[in-house]
Amino acid sequence: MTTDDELEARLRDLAAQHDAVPAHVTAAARAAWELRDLDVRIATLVADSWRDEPAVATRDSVGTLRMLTFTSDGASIEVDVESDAVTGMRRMRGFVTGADGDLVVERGRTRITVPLDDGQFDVEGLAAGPARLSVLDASGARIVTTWVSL
Amino acid sequence: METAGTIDDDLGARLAAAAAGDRASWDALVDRFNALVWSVARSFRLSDEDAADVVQTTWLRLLDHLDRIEEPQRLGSWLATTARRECLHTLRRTSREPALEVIEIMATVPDPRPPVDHELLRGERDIALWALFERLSDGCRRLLRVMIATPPPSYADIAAALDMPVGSIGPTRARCLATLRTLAVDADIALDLG
Repeated sequence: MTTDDELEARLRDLAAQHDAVPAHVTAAARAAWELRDLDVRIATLVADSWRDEPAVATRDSVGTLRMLTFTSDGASIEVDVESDAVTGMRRMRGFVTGADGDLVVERGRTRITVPLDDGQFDVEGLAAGPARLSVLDASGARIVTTWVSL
Repeated sequence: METAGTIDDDLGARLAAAAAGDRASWDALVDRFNALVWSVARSFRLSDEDAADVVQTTWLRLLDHLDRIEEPQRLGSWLATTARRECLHTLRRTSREPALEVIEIMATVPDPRPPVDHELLRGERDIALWALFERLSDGCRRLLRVMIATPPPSYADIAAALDMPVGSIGPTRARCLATLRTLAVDADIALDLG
């Protein structure tokens, strides 16, 4: 009879064989370093309609709308993220206060510029995955949100 | 469960070096903990793509927090907690039926065939055991999938991944491994032959 430790070790071997971290996932995690910004203000996530809700809520969730609020000194970004039930593509709508110019949606190294219309924005056709938003404040300093997974 | 390796003795220094701009330290942190983060995503039975997104978001979150990790020695737990929350968001977003996944996994269990030689027998037994593992209850599978990451996570990190008290990890592990043994007996899979 095997001991629990032996069985655990055998399962660990099996996981390494059958469910190892894909090389591209590790490569992407290492490469994330290149997305590091030193000269920006981070807008932190201060409200998330999904925060701390149990996974059980998925079963009878009313729609897939997620509401996020990010703030930094004097600026805020409110976003509603919606998933298209058929295509799985995301749409982000919201508004920015305390900033001017365009909103930029950052997906890894890809950047999508979205014009702000009286502070409001609407962008569709976003694939799943990590994203963050950035805007320029009145003084021209860049404010970026923390990363969220769309 | 003890974890070995010099990086664990010096997580504070690695984090500080990474925050100060040392990319090699960042890579070392990724290499040390990526299997843990991946295991958390897999413990929720996320697909390859969803798991990859959770892992990447978790590391990007750390990038944002590099100079704000208050307890460097608990970095593994911080990553496990962040990954768990991202997994819950992903589950909420996808309206996937867990039962369907179980069926898909069971369909991959190979038909028993007559063993040709010992190597094949062992390989088949491994595949059968892994298939049994995938059929464990969500609770057991979540615990064990994180536990069997390489290198072995600390009980504190496992507790963070599961949002469970550390003290219940050991007893739950024992119950889940006992369940797996029972399933193995029922399926006529010998556990004590390598």
